[in-house]
Amino acid sequence: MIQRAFYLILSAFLLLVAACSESVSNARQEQETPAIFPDYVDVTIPSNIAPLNFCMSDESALLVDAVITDGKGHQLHGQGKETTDFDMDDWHQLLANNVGGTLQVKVSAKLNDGWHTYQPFSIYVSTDQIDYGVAYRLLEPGYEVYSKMGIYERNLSTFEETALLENTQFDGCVNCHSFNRGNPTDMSLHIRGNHGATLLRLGGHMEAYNTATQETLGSCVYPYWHPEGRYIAYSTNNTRQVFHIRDKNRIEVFDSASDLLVYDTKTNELITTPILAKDSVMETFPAFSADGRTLYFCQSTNLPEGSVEYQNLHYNLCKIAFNPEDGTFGDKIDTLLNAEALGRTATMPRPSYDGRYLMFTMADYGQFPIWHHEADLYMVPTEDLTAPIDSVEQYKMKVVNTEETESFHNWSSNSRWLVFSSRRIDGLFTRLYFSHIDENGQETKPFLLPQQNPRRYYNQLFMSYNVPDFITAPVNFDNLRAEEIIAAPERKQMGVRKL
Amino acid sequence: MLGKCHKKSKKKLFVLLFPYLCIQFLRTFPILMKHILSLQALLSLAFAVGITCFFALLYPHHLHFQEQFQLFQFDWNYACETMSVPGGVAEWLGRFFVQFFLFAWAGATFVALILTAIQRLTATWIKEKSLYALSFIPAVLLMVFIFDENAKFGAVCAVLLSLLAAWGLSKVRPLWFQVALFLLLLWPVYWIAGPVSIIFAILSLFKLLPALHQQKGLMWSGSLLVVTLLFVGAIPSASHHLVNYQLIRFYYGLHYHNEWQNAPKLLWSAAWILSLLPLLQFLFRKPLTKKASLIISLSAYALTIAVGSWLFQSNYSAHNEEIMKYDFMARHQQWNQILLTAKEKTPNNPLSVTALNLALGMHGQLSEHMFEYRQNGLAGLLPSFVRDPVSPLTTAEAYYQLGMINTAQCYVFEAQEAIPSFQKSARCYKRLAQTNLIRGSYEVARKYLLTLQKTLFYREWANETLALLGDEEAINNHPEYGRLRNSIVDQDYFFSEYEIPQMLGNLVMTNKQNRLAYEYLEAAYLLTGDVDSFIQCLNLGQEMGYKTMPKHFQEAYILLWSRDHTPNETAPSHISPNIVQGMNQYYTMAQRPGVTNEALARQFGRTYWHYFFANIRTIK
Repeated sequence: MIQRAFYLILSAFLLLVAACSESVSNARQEQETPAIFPDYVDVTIPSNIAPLNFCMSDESALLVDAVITDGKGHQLHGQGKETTDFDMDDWHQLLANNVGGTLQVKVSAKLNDGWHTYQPFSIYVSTDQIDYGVAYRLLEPGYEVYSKMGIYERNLSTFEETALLENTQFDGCVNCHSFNRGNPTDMSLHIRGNHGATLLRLGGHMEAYNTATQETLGSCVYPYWHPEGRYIAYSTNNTRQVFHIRDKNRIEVFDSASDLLVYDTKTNELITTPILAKDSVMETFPAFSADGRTLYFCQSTNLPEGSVEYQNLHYNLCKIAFNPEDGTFGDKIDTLLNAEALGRTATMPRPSYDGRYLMFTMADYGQFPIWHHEADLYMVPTEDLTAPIDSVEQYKMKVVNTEETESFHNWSSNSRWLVFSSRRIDGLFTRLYFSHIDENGQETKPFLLPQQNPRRYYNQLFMSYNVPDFITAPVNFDNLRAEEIIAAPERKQMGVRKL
Repeated sequence: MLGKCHKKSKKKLFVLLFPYLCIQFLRTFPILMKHILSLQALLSLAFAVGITCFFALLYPHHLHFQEQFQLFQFDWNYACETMSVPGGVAEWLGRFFVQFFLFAWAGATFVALILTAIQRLTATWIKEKSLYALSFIPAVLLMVFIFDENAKFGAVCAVLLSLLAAWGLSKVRPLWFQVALFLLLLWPVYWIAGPVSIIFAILSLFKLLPALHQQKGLMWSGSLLVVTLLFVGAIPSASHHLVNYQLIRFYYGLHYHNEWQNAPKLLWSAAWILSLLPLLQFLFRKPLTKKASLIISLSAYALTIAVGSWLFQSNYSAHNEEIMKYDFMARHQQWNQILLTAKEKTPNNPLSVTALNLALGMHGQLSEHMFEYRQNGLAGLLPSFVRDPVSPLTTAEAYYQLGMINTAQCYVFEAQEAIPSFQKSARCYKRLAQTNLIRGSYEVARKYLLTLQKTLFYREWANETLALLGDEEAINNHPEYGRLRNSIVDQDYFFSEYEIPQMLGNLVMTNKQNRLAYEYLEAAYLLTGDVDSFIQCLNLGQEMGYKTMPKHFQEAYILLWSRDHTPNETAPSHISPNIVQGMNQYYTMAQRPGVTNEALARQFGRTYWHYFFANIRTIK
């Protein structure tokens, strides 16, 4: 009896809610597809992504109405004053029923002069799923001083964001988070400030390390896990900043020295080799190949002492052989891309986990492309890396790049999805975009990380997304334990093994 | 016609009623005086008026200072975010009031109202009338607490909310319900007010324990005490599991003070005194004789006045108020006001000197009058960057007015990032919107402006500025933005604090109308004693429209000239004879045996020569 009454009340409530949505009537038929924010027109999405709510780009729109129809005629309706606000369960059901299919989206907007209906657009549902979520740092796009920041994880199937660690929990800054191919069990996290440390979570056990040693330049940053999980490649950098007086690029972040090291988690040793620690050369951004037998990195000749000609800093894309059995390196460095010869700089190499591609960022010069508006993503098939690349333009990604910065990127664990940060919305605040890379290496139009109310969310967010990386499951990070470890003075000292 | 009739009848009615109303008022006035305007109420009123006048007239810039480091928004998300931590409601309320601090009288009135409300609520816990004066002590402590520029007004609101909760609970009946409600409210009141909600817990216990003991016995009252202690101890720790802050902050208060590493002493003194005041009722159980009452009353007043005076003296800082005043005037581009203030009293703080030099420069008087005031080298012209929220803001004003928009933007951004409470600043948002607008980054400017639209006092400005976005013609013709756009250098290079004169020189070469940059350039040379470079740039002055050589330039010129010429030689004609004579007198006096620096300063302290020989090089 009570149950029936409950359902009656619920039905009445739902009817009331349904009655609240206004039906599209006497709409003027427009000949173009709608201008919406985010631009989800003709994007390819994974079937497990959160609802792609969108708003009309025209902020004066009084209502936005969307009807999504699949090939079998099933429909999903969303309407709202600001955003479409699709029902989460219905959305997932629709996507699950249309894996590999196409959805048609008909959008109507109520403007001051009445309803307008636009030409429908498509959303393609890929057969490739995306990982559980992404982890990233959120911070203001500042210079030297930092305010509140933290490392967060976002469930890609919902709008749920969880803080893993925030700098309200200690006095300092948090950066350089890294997981082994998206597996959150193994994690490296760097803390700067009075309580500086590198937090390593190995198989669930968390410990704070001092990575700075007498024999190395300083603390370890830019981590990249070896696929087998035993090693972590780091670079150690003396990083500086200078500020442009006029340029559109506000700031130049550069290294005055940097070297590469590989940490052996079994022996607690940082493995160094003279070939990767030359004074005249700066090595940075290490990344292991999919088979773990090659270490990709970027290398530039150092500027003469006292020089401020930072536009002469050009990083080449290089590789060196690595033997995971004994943690030794090859005896020569191969230059894969001589970006210096092209008058460009190549940074942040990221090999796909299936071993098919190497993705990197190209900019005009320097080491930190996130502050370069001209920075773009490039993707090279691994088979093209057997010999040095002479021309690079054919590798520039055609669809994902814009006039604004496209930079820090990572692969999903199945190597079919790409996450990267872009400043395309306003030229300053980096936002996360996802693009599908199919079996032929074709990229698709990227889509912005979905939000419940995207316009409100992104308008109000004054933080930038930083270093996004996929995670295959919730990180389950014990931040209270981390807080204790960071606050405690004990640090496990990393040793050094010189080759 | 009808309106006129209506007016006439109203007038008639008023004429008839007025005498009656007057009589009634005179009859009820003594009763009003007796019941409403008692001595206690009058004292509270005087306290409120005193606080208002103090903050509005003597300490207004402390209020302005607080306001500039927050960005209160009428926005649901903002409210939820602020209230999502323990003490968040008090913090939100504090920020709400602080937005009025932009206007000193409005801010001072709110401060007075809240402190007086705290005093009146405190008084409700003092049963013995002769001790009424003691009810002022917590409010005075809190007033002095907000003398500290790092103290947050939300903390004062937290005390008020705790007192209100305790007062509200004391009105609840029956006892069992009161006890249940008390236990239920412990956590919510902690969440609303933060750890000073201990006031609520202790004051309520003073009411509940004796009543419970009387009605139910020791077992019940003892149990309540134990449960309360457990709750009070556990709540901060439990909250730590919900909100990402260091554990200690849940005990000290998340948002009470910017230096959160230590518990703010004045605030906690107020909280503990307030909590323990009801103990006095145990000392004064028996009715007092008139004489004893009078003595105690006078002693309480004496104690309150003594404590208040001591607290006031030890925490009042005219020095800080002066710095904040200069910063406020620079922020609002009150250049005349700065000059008037400096004439009354020469500023001696680097930040104030920076603001003064900027005001002089904006009036084209830097070259005429800068050495009439205390100077401290380049640090008083364009200070080096410091990682705090205060100093870069004044410096950024100078860079902004000079046309170094990227640098001004960087300084403002960094200042905002350095706000210890992680809040954003309306002042910074405004300036960041402006710098982005000038640089043509309209989408970024828009983002800042949309947020400012949600404020009470910046909304109008934001709306006006939003209309400018993308309108190149309007921006180029804007008296401020157009001028600053024209001042931006043509060639890019990297900012360097060690190359200030070179950067100023670039500004001058880019725009020969940028007289401020020229004055700063020459001032930089004079302040660093680089007289040769100063002379090299002198000719530029004619191109910049100087009809005659400014006073300090003449002083510097004749100083350099005197190095290679004897006093008998005739000085160049463009140097005023008075300046030449002054220089000769200065040399004569300076070379006199036994003459002190102070004596030289008395006579020549307003000249470049004195600055040069006192700070750069000793006289030979």
